[in-house]
Amino acid sequence: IVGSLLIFLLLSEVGLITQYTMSVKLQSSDDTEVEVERSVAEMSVTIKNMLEDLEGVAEAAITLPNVTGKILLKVIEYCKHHLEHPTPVNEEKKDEKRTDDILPWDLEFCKVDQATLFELILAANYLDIKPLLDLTCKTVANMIKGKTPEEIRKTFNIKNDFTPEEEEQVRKENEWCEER
Amino acid sequence: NNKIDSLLAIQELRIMLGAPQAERSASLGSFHVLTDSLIEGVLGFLGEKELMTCMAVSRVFYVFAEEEDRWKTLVIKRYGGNFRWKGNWRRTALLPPNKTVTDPYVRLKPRGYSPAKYERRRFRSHVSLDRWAKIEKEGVDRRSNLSLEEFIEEYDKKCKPVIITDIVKNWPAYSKWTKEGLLKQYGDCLFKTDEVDFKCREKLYMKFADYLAYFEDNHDEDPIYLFDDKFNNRDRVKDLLHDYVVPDYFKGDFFEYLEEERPPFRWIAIGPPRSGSSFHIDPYRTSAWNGLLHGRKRWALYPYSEYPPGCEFDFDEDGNFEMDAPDPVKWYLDTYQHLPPNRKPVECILEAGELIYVPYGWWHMVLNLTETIAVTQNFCNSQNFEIVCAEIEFDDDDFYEDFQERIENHVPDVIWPNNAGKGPYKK
Repeated sequence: IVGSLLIFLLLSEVGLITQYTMSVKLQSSDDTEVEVERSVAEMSVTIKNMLEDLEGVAEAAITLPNVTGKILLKVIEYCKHHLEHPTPVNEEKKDEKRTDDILPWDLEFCKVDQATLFELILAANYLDIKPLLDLTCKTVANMIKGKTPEEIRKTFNIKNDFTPEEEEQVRKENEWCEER
Repeated sequence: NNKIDSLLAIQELRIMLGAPQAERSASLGSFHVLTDSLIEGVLGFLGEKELMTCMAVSRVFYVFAEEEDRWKTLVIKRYGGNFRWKGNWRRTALLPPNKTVTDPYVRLKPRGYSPAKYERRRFRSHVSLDRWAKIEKEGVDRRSNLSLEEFIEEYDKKCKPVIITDIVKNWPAYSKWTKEGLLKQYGDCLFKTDEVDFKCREKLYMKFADYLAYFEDNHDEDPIYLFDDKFNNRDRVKDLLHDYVVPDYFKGDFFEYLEEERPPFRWIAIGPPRSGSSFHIDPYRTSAWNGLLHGRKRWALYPYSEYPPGCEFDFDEDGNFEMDAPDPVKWYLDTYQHLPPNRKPVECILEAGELIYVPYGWWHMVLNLTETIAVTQNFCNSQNFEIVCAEIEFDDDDFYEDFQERIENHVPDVIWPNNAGKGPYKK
């Protein structure tokens, strides 16, 4: 027993054990606690940086005051899936701003109510998970595409606060630019 | 000046007191939970048509969707440098190349929420440059009839800037390089600009006629500058080389021996009012001269040992020097007007027909007060040879070896400086 304890201590000195078996406790704003593998958590650059500051601490627990439990679980679901199914890096000339290339799993993942979708944008931004931020922003952008102004207002509960004169001015300007 | 400052203060006070905030919520709907920056992130995924639609959605959507930066990105993405300017980036993006709208664009009067960042940007894009059109006390000598010996003793050896007033007027370029003249001769020729095409990471090229349309009618905060170092390589355009001569003071340039390996060293610089360069030191600490053919340029200079205020400086992990300097108008508004007298830069306004000598290592920033046309070159002479060698050695071993070899072949009696190889800037 002493022998294996010594080996264990030696290996943890060298960081071999801590590196690959460490899990991280994440705590949401409403006190939900989730334990995840370090590699999953580190898909968030914010968490990765926090972990670096906590290097050497035996049981790292990270509080995320800006993320509710519900959203945290969604984010972890995303990170777990993408860690297991990394997207192949395509040709360099790929247009980062196209929105018609969302993967099927990601499409399904984003089939949530609007409030959740916007909360995911905020969480992805706070946690600094670029692929998730791009995905959620693209999803909202796709909800705008192909709609008239009135349809956009209805979809997102936006008030039409133009005066009649303003609305006419904008309409005219757009009309000039639209004729092709 | 004071009126605008107090208007901005009132706006910010209103935002703080929550008055337009309620408007932001209703006018953005579900989007109101996002920060301005995240809203910009979503809009960044929209194409021209969708962005135009967003302008008609609500008052605050109008403000976000109308913002010129995004439209500029769309223009360059679609056309590269091959766009027909229509008065603003939005119209340039939306209208087909052969169609124009004669009615000038009238922006909706500001009412309610607008990101403070946009308001400041608008201010900087439109503020009159008159407030910087005069300098109380110019800090650079003006000389004429300057002999070579006088130049070397009083300026070159002392690393001191000087304006020489009797060179440029004798160049053919002084009368030939006008907007109209260049348009007539080279209207359909391509010129290199300072704008980067982010698709291929190269600088954008534009036909002179296309550039001129933008040059005369834009209100960008940091306008595209025609800044061409390759004009000697292109048919017809290379004739421009005949229109000026490197003054005798600046001959004896060791970089000539580099031939085709020579880094960029001469530029035609044509820029509208508000364009210019933020603070920098010329590459490898070479020296430079700038001959102004048309217009007025305002210069701000700091000696090598004095880091310009209002800029951010850092060293990365490899010890490489990084700096982030604001555009000239931003620097004058945010930093210059608050400087105590002992931190003010050396200043002058270069007039048409004058030439300025900027010795090695001097920090300099240029604001074009009017439409300007200039030509400028960098060089390595006996005065800065040691320093330039140190900079090259620190930066690029292969380049240094090549330079050494060529000099030894052509100028065998040059004494090589013993370079410590230490970083050129003080940490």
